[in-house]
Amino acid sequence: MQKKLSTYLHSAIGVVVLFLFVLSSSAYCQEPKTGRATIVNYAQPLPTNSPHSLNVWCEYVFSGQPISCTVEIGSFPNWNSGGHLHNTGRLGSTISPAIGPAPGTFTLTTTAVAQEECLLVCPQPTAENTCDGPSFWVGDGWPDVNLLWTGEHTDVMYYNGAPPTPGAPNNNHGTIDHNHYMQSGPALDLLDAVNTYRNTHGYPPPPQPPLVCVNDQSLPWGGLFDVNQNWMGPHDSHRVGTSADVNKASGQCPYDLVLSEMESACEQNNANPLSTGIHNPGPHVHCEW
Amino acid sequence: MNRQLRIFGFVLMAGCLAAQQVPEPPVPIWPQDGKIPPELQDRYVFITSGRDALMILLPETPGGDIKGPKKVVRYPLYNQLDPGVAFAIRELQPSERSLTYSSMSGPSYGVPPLRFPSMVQLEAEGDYLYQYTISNGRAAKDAIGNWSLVVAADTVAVPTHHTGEDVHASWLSGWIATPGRAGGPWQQAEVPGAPNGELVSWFLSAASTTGVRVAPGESLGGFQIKSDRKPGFTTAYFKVAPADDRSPLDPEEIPREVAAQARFLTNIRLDRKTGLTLGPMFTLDAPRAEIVANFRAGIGRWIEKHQLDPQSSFVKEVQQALQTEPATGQDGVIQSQPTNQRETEIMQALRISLGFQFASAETP
Repeated sequence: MQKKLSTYLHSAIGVVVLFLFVLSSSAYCQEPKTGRATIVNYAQPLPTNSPHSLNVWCEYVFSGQPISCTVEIGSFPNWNSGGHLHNTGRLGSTISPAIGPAPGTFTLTTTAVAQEECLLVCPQPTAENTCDGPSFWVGDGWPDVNLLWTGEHTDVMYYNGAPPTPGAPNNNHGTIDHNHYMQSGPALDLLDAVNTYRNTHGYPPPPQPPLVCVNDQSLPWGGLFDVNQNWMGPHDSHRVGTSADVNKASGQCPYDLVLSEMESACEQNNANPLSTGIHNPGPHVHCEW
Repeated sequence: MNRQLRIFGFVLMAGCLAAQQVPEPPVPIWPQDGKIPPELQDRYVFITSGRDALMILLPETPGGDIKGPKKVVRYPLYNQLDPGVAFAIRELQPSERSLTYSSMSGPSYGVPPLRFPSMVQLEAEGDYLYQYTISNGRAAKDAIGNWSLVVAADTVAVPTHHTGEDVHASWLSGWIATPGRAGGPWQQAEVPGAPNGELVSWFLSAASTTGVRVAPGESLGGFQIKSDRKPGFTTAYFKVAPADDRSPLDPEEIPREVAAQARFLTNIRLDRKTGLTLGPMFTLDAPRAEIVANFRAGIGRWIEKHQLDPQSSFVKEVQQALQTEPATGQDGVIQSQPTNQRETEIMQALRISLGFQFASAETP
């Protein structure tokens, strides 16, 4: 009797152990974890050079049950995004801490580069689990007008690269398709300034030459122009879609311009006199609203 | 009591007027010893007590942090001008009237409400020829090389300048116009109550080597406008030639925080001086009361600026006639003789705009 009872007991314990083994292997060993993150107070684009909080957690991939874990987290810029058509050394946002407990709060700090980035949130050890994370935009201001697309005004020549046509080769200013974005108010003032200049010089009606060459207003989401391919600027004041360079005859611009008069025309049309003027080298007129 | 209230009201109005004429820039005065008090540590733009320059704080190293070590740069406003303008008007003969004016933006007359205007061919029936001579007083330190008149947004007018052998052949003329922008952005700083307008402008081309600036103590004539508008008081703006407006700053090196504190310069235009004159203002069907109000305000302003003598019998009689408008209309005849340039200008303008009759000859 005792032997039979012991046999039953052992069998029951075996079933329980087997059940627990199956349960644990399915839930804790076989189902992988994934890392998730949300950006607190998320609004696109995230301003450049600024910190943002991330809420980070882990969960089982299939059940979605949240669990505690350790995650490694990074941010990776999407190549060619933001109008920058070169990628060597391209900077992405930094995240602190790079590895830490989840659920938890991490800090994402954007750089001066306006672009699309992707978060990668990976539970440790990475080999056994999957990574996840949202895409987000980094940018400055709202340069919502691409002057290249506003076909009504044929008195302005937008150039960059040679020949000055859409799809022209990149020379670090972004291509002509990308570097003529402005905020709408300054865009209208710029076109008025061009009108003022052409009007006072008695130019023939457009599209008859001479035109006025303007360049480097802003990239689609603002941010720095990587003119020197070091992701450090200059062109700092072209980051928010409120500036434009107006040029005299050069390799890319066949039409001459009296710089001081163009400066005056910009100031007559609401440009900030302090930050509007003739910039060297070039030289060109930097008009800023 | 009523009289006291009226006097108080007048004083208040004069105070408001004075404030309108010379707006206070929203920046602190640069301390004489150059030491910035602690409460102004976040201010980077100052103005000199003489209002002839801004004092700008910039990072010591270009591109550096504005919160770090700073240097001081003097930014001259080139506004040491003492401008004056003399006006004359005559009605054009029919053969002189018709002209065609090609303009990129031109007067906004007929331009569709697009912000990207196209070519305008204007057939202007210029009924009147407005002629101007500008001057710069001996007290000035800078030379005038750019001046403009405020006109109503839909004015049909054609500014011209001398060409050929004349010394100021290189003065260019044109519109500082913003078609589609209702009313235009330029304030009638000298004519209280008048609506903002656009500018007709003349300036000395920087490309010219022969152009003559209006130096202190000198004057220059030959500026003309053909227009079908009747004359009224308006504001003139004067400044230095575009090429003389030199900035000691690299515009691309100015931090945004600093530029933001100087943004007021687009509204409070410290780089130019204003003057009061007569120009093309009124359509043929403009309400008579509107014209009368303009002349009352303009004559009052000239008296305030000591350019008219309120005790002059001519001024008294004209003011009396304007006070009784429109009840008396144009029935009266001004008996007093104009005795100086300003009074002659008033006489010429009143004849055309309000049909006033004068017993005097054309010129004093």
